[in-house]
Amino acid sequence: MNSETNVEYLKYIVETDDPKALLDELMTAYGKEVWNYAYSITRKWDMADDITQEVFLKVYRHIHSFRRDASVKTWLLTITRNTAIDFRRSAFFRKVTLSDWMEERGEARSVEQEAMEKWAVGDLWDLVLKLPVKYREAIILFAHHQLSMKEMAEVLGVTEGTVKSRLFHARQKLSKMKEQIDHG
Amino acid sequence: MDDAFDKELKDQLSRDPFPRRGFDARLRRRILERIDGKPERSGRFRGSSRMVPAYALSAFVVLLFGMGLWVWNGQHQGGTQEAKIQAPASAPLAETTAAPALPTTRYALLIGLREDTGSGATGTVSRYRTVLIAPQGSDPDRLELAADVAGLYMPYGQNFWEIAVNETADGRQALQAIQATGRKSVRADTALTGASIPDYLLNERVVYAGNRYLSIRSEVRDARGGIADNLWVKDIAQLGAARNDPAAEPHVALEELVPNAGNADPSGKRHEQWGISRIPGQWAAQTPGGDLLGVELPTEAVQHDQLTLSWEQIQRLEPGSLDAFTYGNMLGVVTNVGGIRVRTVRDGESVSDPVTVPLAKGETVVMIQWAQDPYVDRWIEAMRSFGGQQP
Repeated sequence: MNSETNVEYLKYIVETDDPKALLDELMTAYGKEVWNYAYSITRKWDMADDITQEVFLKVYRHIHSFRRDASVKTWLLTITRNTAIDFRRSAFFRKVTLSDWMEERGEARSVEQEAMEKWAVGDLWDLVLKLPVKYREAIILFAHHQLSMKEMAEVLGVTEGTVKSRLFHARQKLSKMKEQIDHG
Repeated sequence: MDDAFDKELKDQLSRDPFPRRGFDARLRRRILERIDGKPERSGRFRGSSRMVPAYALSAFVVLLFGMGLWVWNGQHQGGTQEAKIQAPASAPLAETTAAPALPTTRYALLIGLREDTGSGATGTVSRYRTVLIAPQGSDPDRLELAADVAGLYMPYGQNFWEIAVNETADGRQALQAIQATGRKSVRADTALTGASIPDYLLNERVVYAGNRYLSIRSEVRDARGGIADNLWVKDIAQLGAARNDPAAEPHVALEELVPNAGNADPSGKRHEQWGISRIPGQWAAQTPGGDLLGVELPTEAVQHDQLTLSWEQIQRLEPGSLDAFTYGNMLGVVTNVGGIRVRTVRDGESVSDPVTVPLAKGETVVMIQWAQDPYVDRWIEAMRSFGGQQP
């Protein structure tokens, strides 16, 4: 999954005249990636739906402003992250997802959370989704979206050194979680 | 951690997280309908559609300036607690904690304070106290000063540990960790013996305490009879360990907690001496000389260290705040008048009268720890017992 190959793709589509057709193409190519990243941040299906919707609405409105030297995927994931943060900051989000605050600290997990994660397709996904968000994000950008260190740093707004540090701690935590499972 | 683990990660995580739903035809249709101007079918998150102009603006900013200007970067900024907060945007917002807590959940705030009472014959002399601000009864928004106890009491594991000052007859001070609660607890007055302090050590004082780590500044007499100033980070288990060589002081190097920390240093040397100290809104790694190291401290070293309110909100609630700490529904600030003030906040608004903890001149914060139900009552009981109060 090499994100750099996507650049040519957007260069092609932004030259067309129909933004709705462009959006449709982008949703086909990146809809799942945007939704999966939104879910990995929020761990709520409905919230991931709403964030994905807002991301593509933003893209639709500003599609011709895309910097052609950038990676489409990195661009979309950055917008996804910013949108997720906006949702978290909004009073509306706070009113409807009070229990998440606790769950993120690993001190309590909502019933909904437990139920949703039962659907996760693999053991590692299940473990990754239990990581604190900053480690979860790093490992998902690395292993699922398969971004380079530079791209991850761009999306997360941190230095590459910080990305490496987060990955190191994420791997350590995952490894410990695996050991605990392996040893019953 | 090896390449095989990375390969396993990439193999397993390259798949979608769920076997069904995610981005599907239903969601695609919903997005296209929004573009066509049709009202949303789902009513649950109508709030999001009301926020579209703000999102459009933020997206425009993203598009205009590229993707490198995201300000939520967690980089430590310069400054000291003494300097009034000038740059609200530099304070990191919590990544995951913007939402307030459940109204019924109670939180408690434990603050460790150090007061340097002046320079004795053997250097700085320090005194500590620990204060606990907790709900009065079952109402999470009715706070009180639950305990104000001499000494530094640090929660670690399931128990409290006293970071006790072991003092010699000639006034030299060394630190020792003594289990203060639980089956193996001992009394400080029986555990401390000034005889175990090495001759070269003049004094030690706590700069930071949290989780299992302490940052300690010390003064030692060097081989030429001069006085050297050291700054260490130690595991609590290293505190009070037998020692007879200042060059072999037990400590935790920065790279043991932050593996890539040495990357920025062209010499490639490990940071054996370093510390954790308070800057406005967070704990930060620093050199013995006081320069910030600009590394992100892991949660193993520093927990709950991200503000859940913006500096604008904090300054509106507590004008003149020099430092702030938040968790759950609680906001604590260090003000330039009146000391520490702690209140409960919901949706950015104060919902309780503040509890004030006056600070003596030169008294500084060295520990900020949080508890929530079901541990709040246990903390109240323990702290009151240390102070000789009835729980």
